[in-house]
Amino acid sequence: MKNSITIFGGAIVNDILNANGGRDFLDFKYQKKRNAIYDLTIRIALKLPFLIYSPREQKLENLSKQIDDAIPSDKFEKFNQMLTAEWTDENVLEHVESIWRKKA
Amino acid sequence: MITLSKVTLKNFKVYGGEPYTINFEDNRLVLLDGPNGYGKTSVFDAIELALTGTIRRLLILESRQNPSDIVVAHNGDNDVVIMIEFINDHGNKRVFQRSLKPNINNAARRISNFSDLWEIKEIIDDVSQAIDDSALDLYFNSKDFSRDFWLFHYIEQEETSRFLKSNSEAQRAEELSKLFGDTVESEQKLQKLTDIKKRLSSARRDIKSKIDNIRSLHNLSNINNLSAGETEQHIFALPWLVGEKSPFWDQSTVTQLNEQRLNKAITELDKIRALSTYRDFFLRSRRYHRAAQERELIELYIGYSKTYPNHQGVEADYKNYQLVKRSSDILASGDLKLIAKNLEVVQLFLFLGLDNPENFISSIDSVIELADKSNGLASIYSEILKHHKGMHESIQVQSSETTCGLCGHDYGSHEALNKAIIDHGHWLRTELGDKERILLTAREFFESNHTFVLSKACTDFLSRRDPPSQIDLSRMAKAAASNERLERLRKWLASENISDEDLVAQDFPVRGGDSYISEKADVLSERIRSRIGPSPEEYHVLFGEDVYERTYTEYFEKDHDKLRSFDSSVLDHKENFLKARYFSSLTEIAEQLLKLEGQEQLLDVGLADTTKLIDIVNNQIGQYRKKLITDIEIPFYIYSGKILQSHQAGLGQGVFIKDPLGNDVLKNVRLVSDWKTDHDIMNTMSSGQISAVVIALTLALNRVYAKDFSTILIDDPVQTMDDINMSSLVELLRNDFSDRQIILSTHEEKVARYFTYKYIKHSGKVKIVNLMQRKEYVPTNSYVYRGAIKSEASSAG
Repeated sequence: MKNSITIFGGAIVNDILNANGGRDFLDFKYQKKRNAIYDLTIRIALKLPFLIYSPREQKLENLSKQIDDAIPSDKFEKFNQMLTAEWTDENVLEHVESIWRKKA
Repeated sequence: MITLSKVTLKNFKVYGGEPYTINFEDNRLVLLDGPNGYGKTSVFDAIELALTGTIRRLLILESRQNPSDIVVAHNGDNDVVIMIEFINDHGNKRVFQRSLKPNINNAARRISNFSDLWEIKEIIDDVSQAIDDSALDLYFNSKDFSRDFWLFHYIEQEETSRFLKSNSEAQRAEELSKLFGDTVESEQKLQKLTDIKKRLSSARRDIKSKIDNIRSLHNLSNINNLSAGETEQHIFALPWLVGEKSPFWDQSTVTQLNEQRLNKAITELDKIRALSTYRDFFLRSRRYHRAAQERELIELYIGYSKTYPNHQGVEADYKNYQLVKRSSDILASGDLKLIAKNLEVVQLFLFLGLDNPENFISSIDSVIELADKSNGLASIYSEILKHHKGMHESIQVQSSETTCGLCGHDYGSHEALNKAIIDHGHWLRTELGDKERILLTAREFFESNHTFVLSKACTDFLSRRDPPSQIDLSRMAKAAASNERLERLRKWLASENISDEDLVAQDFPVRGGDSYISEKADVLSERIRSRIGPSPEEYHVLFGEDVYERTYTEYFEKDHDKLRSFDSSVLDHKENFLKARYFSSLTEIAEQLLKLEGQEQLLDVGLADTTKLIDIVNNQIGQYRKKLITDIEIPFYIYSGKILQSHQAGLGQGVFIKDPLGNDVLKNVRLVSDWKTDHDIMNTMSSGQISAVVIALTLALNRVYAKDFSTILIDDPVQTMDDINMSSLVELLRNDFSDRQIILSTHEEKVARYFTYKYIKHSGKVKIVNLMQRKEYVPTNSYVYRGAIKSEASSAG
C-alpha cells in the first residue's frame, strides 16, 4: 500500500485507520504488534488539523425497543406485567398468582 | 442537514417583557457572548426545553426545590412560549412552539412534574397545530431525538467537573455511563426486576419454611389410611362432666387435634374402657382397700372395743384414786389449818372404809382453836417448836449429817448433833407457858391418833392401785364416742367372716400399750385386704391401681352408680368420632400443604423467568454500550488526541476506552490514556483535560450517530480549559465539524475573538450575539482582523 500512495489525504487516513474492519486499531490499542504505518498515520491525523477522519455513520438503536425485541414472546406479557405492578412485601403472592398462575 | 435558524423566547427566565428572538440563520458558528447572569445558559435551556420537552439539569435539583410557581417563568402570571425555527439544506423552514399547557393547577408546578407542564405545536402558515414529540423524531430521522440531543447535540457547562468533584466511585461510574448512551430507563427496569427477584426469593423462603414446618408437625402419611365418609355425630361420653371438668376429647369442638392429642385421648378412652370392664372387681377391691386404710378406727377397735362399755366405771374409779392421792398430799403437809380447810374428810373416810369422820373433824377443830388462843412470844416458841420438830425429823433421816441446819455448828458426829437438837428441844419446852404446853400436847396427840392413821390408810390404798394414764383414758373416751362406727365395724367384720377375737385387747389399760395395738391393727388390716381375693388376669396388666383410682375419681366423680350404669359402647363411638375429626383436620392441612406447594412451584417459575429477564435486560444494556463504544472508539481516540495536544509531553496520544473484561457485553468501562494502566483518567488528568475528553466523546458520538440535525450546542467550554486545548478545540470544530452548526457560549471576549478569527479564516459564516446588549453582530474577515494584525505588526515594528 505504501508504494501506491500518491495523495495523502482524508481518504487514505480513513483506509489505514479502519483497516481490517477496525482490528488494526485494536492491535494498536492493545499494543499487540507494532504497525509503523498505523502508528504514524494516527499520529499524523492527530497532529495535522486539516487531515479529517470520517468514521462510518452508524445508527444508534433504541435500547428499550431492543430489550423488548430480545424478550421471548411467551415472556413478554409477564415482563410488562411485572414492570407495571407495584410490588410490596404484602402483595408478592398476589402478583405471582396473577402473572404466572394463568399459564402455569 | 437541518439547522437551527431561529429561537424566540417569551417570558422565559431572564427574557421577560417583549419576546426576544435570536437569529442563528445558517451560520456555522454562533457565539453567545456576555457576562454571567445575562442568560447564556437560559438560551440553551430554552432550546433544550423546546426540543425535548424538559430541562434535564432541573431534575438534579429536584429534591431541593418545591416551588409554587413555574420555575422557568419570568412572570408567573403570563404564558411561557418558546418558538423554534429550523431550516434544511433546501431552504425549507419548519416552526415549532413549546408552551405551557392552559389551566395548570399548583400541584402540577412541582419540578418532578415539569415535563407535564408543556405542550408542543407546529406553526404552519401562522396557525398552530397540536403534535406530539414523535413528530420531532420523524423530522430528525431519529429513534429517540431527546436522547440524541442530550447525548451528542448538547455539551452542558461544567458537566464534567461535576462528577470530577464527586468522591463516590459509584457516582462517578454512573456519570461516566451517561456519556455512553442513555440507559437510565432500561437500568430502572433492570433495577425493578432485581427488586422483584429479591421479593420472590424471600417469599419462596417463607413458603419453604412453612412447608417444612407442616411436614415436621404432622405425619401426613396417615392421610392415606383415611377411612373416608365415616362421620360420627358428637355425643358426650361423660355427660355429667360439664365446663372445665369435661376432658378436651369429650367436648363438641376438639381444638388442636394433632396426632399427639389424638393418641392421648385414645389412651384415656382405653382407661375408661378397662375400668368399666372390671368395675365389679374395682369397686369391691376399693371397698376393702378403703376399709384397710381406716387405720385410726381399726386401732381403736383393737385397743378398746372390748373395754369401752365400762368407760364410766373406769372414769369413776379414776376419780376416787385422784381423791386419795390428793388427800395423801394434803396430810403430808402437816398444816392443820390447810387439812381442815381442803381435806374432803367424809368422802375419804367413806371410800377408805373408815369410821367416825366426825371424831376427826372435831379433834382438828379443837386443836386449831387452842392454837388460835395462844399468842405473843409463847406462840412464837410454839411455832419454833413445830419447825424444830420438823427439822429434827429430817435430820434423823440423814444419818451421816453432823452439822446443825440452823446455826451451822459441826458437832463431829450424828449422835452428838442429834443429842444437841433434843437438848435444845427440851430447852425450848422449858420456855413455854402453860397454855402452850397444853396446846403442844393436844397437837401431838392429834397427829399420832388421827393424821398418822389416815395417812397410812391412803398410802396403803395407793400402793395397791396401778392407775391408767391420761392417754389411755382419752383414747377410751374416743372409743366410747365412736361407738357407732366401732359397732358397724364389728358387724361388718362378722359379716365378712373376718375373725378378730384373738386380736382385740381384753383389758384396760391395754397390756403391751401402743406397740400391741399397732401390731394387731396391721394383722387385722391384712385380714381385711386378703378378703379382696385374686384380681382378674388382665386387670393389673392393663393399668396400675392408681390409674383405675384416678379414672374413677376424674371421670366418675367417685360415684359407683355412674360407673355401674356406664355403657362402654359410647367409648367406641367416641373413638371413631375423634379419629374422623383428626383425619378431617389432617385433610385440611394436606390441602393447605398442597396450596403452599403450588405457590412454591409458581414462585420457582417466577424466579426462573425473572432471572432470565434480568439476564436479557442486563445483556442488552451491555451490548448496547459495547456497540456504542466500538462504533466511536476510533473517532474518540482521534478527537481526544487532537484536543489534548500537550498531553503525554505533546506526543499526540488520544484516550482509549477500556473495558477490562473485554467481553461482548460491557460490564465496566474506564477511560485510559495508556492501555497498560488501570487508572482512569478521572484520577490522572486535570479538570480541563477531562472537560476536553468529555467534549471529544460527545463530538465522536455526534460524528458517528447524528443524522439530520446539524446543530451542536456547547455551553462555555473554556472555563477550565487552557489556551492550547482551546485552540485545538477550535481546529477540530472548524475542520472535522465544518458541516455542523456550532452554537457556543463564552464569557471571555478573547475566546470569542479567537473562535471568530479561526472560523472566518476558514471562510465559515460567524455570528456573535451579545446577550447583555441583545444585539447581533456579523464580523467580517476584511475589516476587523486585518486591522488588528496591522496594528500588531506596526507596534512590533
